[in-house]
Amino acid sequence: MERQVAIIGYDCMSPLGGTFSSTWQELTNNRSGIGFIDRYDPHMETLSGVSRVAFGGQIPLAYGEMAGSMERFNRCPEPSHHCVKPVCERVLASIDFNIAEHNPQRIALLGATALTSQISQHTLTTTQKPYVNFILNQCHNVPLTPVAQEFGIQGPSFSIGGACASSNHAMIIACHFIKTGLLDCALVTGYEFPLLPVSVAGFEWLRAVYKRDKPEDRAYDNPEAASRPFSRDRRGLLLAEAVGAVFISDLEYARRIGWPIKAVVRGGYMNSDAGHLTRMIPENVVICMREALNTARCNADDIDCVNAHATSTPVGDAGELTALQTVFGDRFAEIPIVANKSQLGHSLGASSIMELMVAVEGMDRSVLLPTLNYLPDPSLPPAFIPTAATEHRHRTTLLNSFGFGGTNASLVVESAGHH
Amino acid sequence: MFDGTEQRTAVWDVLWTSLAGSNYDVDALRSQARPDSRLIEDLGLDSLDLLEFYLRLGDKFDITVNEDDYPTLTSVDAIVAFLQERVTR
Repeated sequence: MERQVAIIGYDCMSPLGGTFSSTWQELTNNRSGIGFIDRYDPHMETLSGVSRVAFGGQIPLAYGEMAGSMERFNRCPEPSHHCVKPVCERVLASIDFNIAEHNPQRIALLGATALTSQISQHTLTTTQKPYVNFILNQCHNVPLTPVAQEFGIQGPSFSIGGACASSNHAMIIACHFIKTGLLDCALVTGYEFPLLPVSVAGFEWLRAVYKRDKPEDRAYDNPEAASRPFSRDRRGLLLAEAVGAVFISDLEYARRIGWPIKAVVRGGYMNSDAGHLTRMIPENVVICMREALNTARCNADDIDCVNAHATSTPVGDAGELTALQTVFGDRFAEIPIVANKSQLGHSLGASSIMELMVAVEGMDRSVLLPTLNYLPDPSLPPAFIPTAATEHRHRTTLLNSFGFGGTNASLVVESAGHH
Repeated sequence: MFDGTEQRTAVWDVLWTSLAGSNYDVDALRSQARPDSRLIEDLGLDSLDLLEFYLRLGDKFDITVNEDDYPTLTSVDAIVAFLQERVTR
């Protein structure tokens, strides 16, 4: 019989809280983590465009708090190097992980990030002071090393860069390793800290981010209204920080260890557009979703909920909704669509690991999270997009993520009830 | 210019500020460290801590610390002797 992959545990730091439980609480309170950026002073920045991008999603910890002290942060000025370990520690503590029960070579530790290393580059450019860890800060896998050291995990360890779809790519690859028998389990992490002037400016130059430049805009004095996926007045994504980790295991292996099973990853598919650098190609996204359903041995009728990529950009959201209409056909208008980026912002390479864990928690607790700020767009097909957290039993979720460069990854997850 | 005592104090300061950014109990190390304590064997510095320390020493005393010098820079005493030779030469 084919191996199956179980989701065992997860945790995070997000703009809505320093832990998964605080994040979940705020998600179900219909709160958004978007606020004024204060990692730097936007008005002191000279790079064109930075001062217009006033809003973002910040993890509620200062850099010094993440590292333990500013001395420690300055010696290694890359937040993910300090935050991945505590998040992973909480995940492993929650499942009573004991390395002595496992073959350490058969546990993978994967990372996913789009832009990690920009803060350390910015620091070096600003201070012009050499430091030993600089080149280690440029390696996107190194934030995983403290976790491996602490727990003695010795299987494959590397990070995957697939822009905004990085975490779904990492999850699908980890599942593949487990299904082929190469591994028993894996800790899959995503991390992103894009709130610094050069990254913010870069997104602004691409005209991809929300700008606080119109006093009449409903978010001008209310940052929580800025991220509005699928809405008729959506005006761009909100950059956000996040660190998330999900522990997965071969299902039978998990049963032998005695781990409680939260969900099963039924399948996943990755493809690429061979097209535009930033604009998705809906026909190819349709293929990505349909093949994900095929790998999960199910069809669109078996899906109870869609966790959309939906970043709140005019073109991207329209393309995704059109593609979803094609995939779901007659059922399109009745299937709930959830856009977590309305609450968590867009944490790029970390976004899909965040969305996976909240989707699993939602199935587990029969809660459908809201898509905040949604006002139907008459130019798009009418869709079922709840705007407040609601009780709703759902068993299966299709999760989408699409990245710059035309890279796509869709995942199908089923709650543990059946297993 | 530094005299011997000032130099020694400055070297200790560089060491402690350098280690403050890493995973050390600096207070505990301070109480056990002596001028002839060996940086690796007695104080437990790893190779990256040493590199950071040497980088900061070079910065503080405005000299270049070369890799060829590393084998001699094994304790605070040895570093003070090295600096005196460098500065007076």
